[in-house]
Amino acid sequence: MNHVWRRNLARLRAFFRKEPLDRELDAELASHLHLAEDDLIARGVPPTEARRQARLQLGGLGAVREHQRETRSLPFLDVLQQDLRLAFRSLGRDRGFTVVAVLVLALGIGATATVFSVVDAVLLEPLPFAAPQELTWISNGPENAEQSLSGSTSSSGVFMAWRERNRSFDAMSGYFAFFNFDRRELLQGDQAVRLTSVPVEQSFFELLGLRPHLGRFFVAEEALVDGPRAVVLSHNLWKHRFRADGELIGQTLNLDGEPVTVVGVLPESFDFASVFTPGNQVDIFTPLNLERIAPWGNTLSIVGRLRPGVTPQQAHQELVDLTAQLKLERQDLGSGYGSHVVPLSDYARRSTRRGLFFLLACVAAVLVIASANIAGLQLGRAAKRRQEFAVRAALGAGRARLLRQLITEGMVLATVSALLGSALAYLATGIISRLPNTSLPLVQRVQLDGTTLLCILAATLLVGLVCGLTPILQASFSRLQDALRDASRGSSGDGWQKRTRSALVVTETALACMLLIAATLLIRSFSQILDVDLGFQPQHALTLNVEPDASVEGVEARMAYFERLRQSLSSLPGIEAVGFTDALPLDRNRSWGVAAKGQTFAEDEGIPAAFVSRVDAELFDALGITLLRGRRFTDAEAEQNSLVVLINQSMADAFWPGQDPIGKEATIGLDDRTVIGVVSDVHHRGVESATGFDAYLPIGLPDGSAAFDLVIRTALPPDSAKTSVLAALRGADSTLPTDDLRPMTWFVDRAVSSRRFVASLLSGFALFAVVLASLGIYGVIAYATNRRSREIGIRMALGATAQDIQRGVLRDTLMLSGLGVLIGAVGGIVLATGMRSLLFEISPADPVSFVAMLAAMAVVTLAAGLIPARRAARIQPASTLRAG
Amino acid sequence: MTQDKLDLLQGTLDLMVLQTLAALGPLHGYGLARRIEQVSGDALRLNQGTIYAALTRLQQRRWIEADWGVSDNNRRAKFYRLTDDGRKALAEETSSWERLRSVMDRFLTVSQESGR
Repeated sequence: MNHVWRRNLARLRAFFRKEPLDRELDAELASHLHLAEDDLIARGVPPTEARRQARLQLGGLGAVREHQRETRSLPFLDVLQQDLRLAFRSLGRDRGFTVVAVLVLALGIGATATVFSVVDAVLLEPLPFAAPQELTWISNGPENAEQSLSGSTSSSGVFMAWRERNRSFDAMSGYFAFFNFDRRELLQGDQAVRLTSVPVEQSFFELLGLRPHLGRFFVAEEALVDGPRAVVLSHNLWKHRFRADGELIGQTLNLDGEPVTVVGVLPESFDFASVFTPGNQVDIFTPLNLERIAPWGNTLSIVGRLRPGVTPQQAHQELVDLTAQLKLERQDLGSGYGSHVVPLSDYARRSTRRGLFFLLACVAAVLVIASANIAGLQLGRAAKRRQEFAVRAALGAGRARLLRQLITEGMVLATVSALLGSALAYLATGIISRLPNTSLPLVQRVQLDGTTLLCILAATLLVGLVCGLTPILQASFSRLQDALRDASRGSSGDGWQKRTRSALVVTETALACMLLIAATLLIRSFSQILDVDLGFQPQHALTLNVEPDASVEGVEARMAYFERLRQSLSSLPGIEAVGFTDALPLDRNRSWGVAAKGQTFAEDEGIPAAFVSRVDAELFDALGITLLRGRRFTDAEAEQNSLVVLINQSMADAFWPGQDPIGKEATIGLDDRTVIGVVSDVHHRGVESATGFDAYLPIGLPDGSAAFDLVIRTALPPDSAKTSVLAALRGADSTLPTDDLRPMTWFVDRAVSSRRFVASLLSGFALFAVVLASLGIYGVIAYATNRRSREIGIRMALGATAQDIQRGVLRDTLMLSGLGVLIGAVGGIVLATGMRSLLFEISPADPVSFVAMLAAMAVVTLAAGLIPARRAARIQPASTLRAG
Repeated sequence: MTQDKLDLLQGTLDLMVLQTLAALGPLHGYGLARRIEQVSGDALRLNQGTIYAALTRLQQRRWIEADWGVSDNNRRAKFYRLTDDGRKALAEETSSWERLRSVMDRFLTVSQESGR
């Protein structure tokens, strides 16, 4: 079949070499005629007759040339070329239309493609693991936003029991969920870097079906307490910190002053944080010892791989039964302890599904508006071009040919727009995938991939057909003669055309109104969220995670170290307070059982949990937490871990309603402590979630991790204070890693990032939709005014004033947009009710949003109507009457 | 068919050209056309011009090559000659033509017998 390819290639080449090939053929045919003549003369034919016969035998030069062209090249390419040339010429003539159409379509296609890429990457594509449908998330209770992390993680004892006894799972593994406490310091030369480390159960990566990029994953003995120390690096850390060093495996790193061997590097496709803990960055993984974490309670996040054929529901039922049995055997399991199995992909996407599908619906509406807009413009254009088509039909262009040309024109328009739109989408997806500090899961995978390009292609074809075929709807074809006859006056197609365009514009306006309402509601929700009294003041505060090195041993040395840092900062201008805590709000998550001393709880009630943090006396000032009653810790209390506690208002109200809580005894964890103060409720777990119980313990507890967060309150803007703060801290401890010195607002930003994402995209769409709708209204009114200029001229000649005319045009405009707004408002109520779950303390029937929509549409409509109205009012009766 | 001249089947002209070039060596378009007319004993309806479409097809398949040269009577003319690919193609096309002919022969014979 080789020659078939060669032939087709040659035909394609010939398409681009028409002229030389034609010359060659002419020369050859001339030579042919000479040879034939010579031959005939030699056979005794007279010269003139010989010439005639030679030509006759050849069969007509024109026919031969035509036949040759068809054979040597691809005829449809020639037709296509003609059509394209014609399309470009006609689009070039209507430059205004073309520019608007291309921009509108490019934005529409670009926006659709972008949102589709996000939805595809975040919601549709399988998780980047082997057989992801078998993977499940196993928690000790149903996942919901109000619940603390401790309420969803499990203890290692329960994990081991589940793993041993179940029949539903091929394998179970997990990771230590409170890894935020596990910051490690990597010493490279004299440079110290702070890394986030996640301790994972030994078989974790194998369970996910990952293959190491380099080296291997953990072996069993590395998980032992006295086993060899091993670490696996994330691909990102390996690539950037170690410059993708291929020889790194087997080398020793200095982590927290201890030698640890690098055994493997994870594959690039695996981004732990994007699936399990969006918004965090994880650098290294260490093997987790299950016995060691056993006394720490619920700290393990569990992932299981189902046996083939077992459904998540079956597995869920089995674990529920198993847990009930465990409760009978063990005393340490609280009555509230449960088990819950969901597909891992549901868990990873739990918070984004509704928002993103909502966005997709909105962007589809934008594309519909854009297409309706172009269709409207095309209708207007078709009316102008009716004459052109009539002339071409009269000159012999067949209907099929005219149709093909219109479609070609639509396709050219759509293709150019799609190219531009793809470029836009490429830029947008690039920005989205690199959004810093976002808690959208899997968003790093967002890219313009094959699926999206297919979606763009489909959109292009559809838009091209719509653009190309709208003019045909107008039936100008069947009435070509009519069109030719009364080219400039209104004909029967006119009423139909006007109705269609009006309907399109009303649709556009209604959809734009709905988007506008949705966007306003989301923006108002967002600002409502930003207005939430967090219970602390994130502005003007800087934070840094500090961990004294191993030489600082014991509580006293640690306190001295903190004091040294505090002293170094206190001389700086603008510093108001410097505090320490082991759990920043909106960052960490932890809960302990709490009770008023002596209080007992019924079996099925469970013990209430509080967010516990260990703080020093100045922290309340540094974070801006208000002291409502009582007092703070004294320095001595803070250092010596006295049995005192500060609690928040909610906890005081719940345990000692109507009483003074100061001096009461509370059980926090295992200790009884005296309440010495009450502070405001702080949104520790999330901006949108309700506040719970908070308890603040003195920082001088001897156990636990040595890493703390330093909080600096400054009168200066945090960004300008940063440099001097850095310098001062380095002066106090030259090896302190300072790369994550952040304003406290960073944590707030991260907490609201996915909401901000949806709200800002939707606002963009709504704005675009309103612009399109106003363009549509303008187009229809301007066109109608134009067509009616004769009528207007007559009316003015009969005494109508410019005001009358202007008022008439504006009335038409208001009618059009009024109908759209009315439908849009009704649609908006339906839409708003549907999106209730996305709103925050805003009613779906929020009057402000609806009034804002009405106001915006009124302004836009007036603007769109005023231009043609002015133009109509300036009509000179004499000239229009003469021209008509 | 009402006229006594035969229309050419698709592809048969190509085979004739290949065969003629194989038998006579390099030829120009007119020479080829004359030769085919002579061999077919004027039984074919052939516009000499159609030979050029066949030549283009064969050239695009790289079965023949062409060069400008000078004819016996000192006219400039484009001469075509068979390539190695063309020789192979000729062998294949000939055998497939033979097979087709034998099938057609058999078929027509059988039909005539049963039709009787």
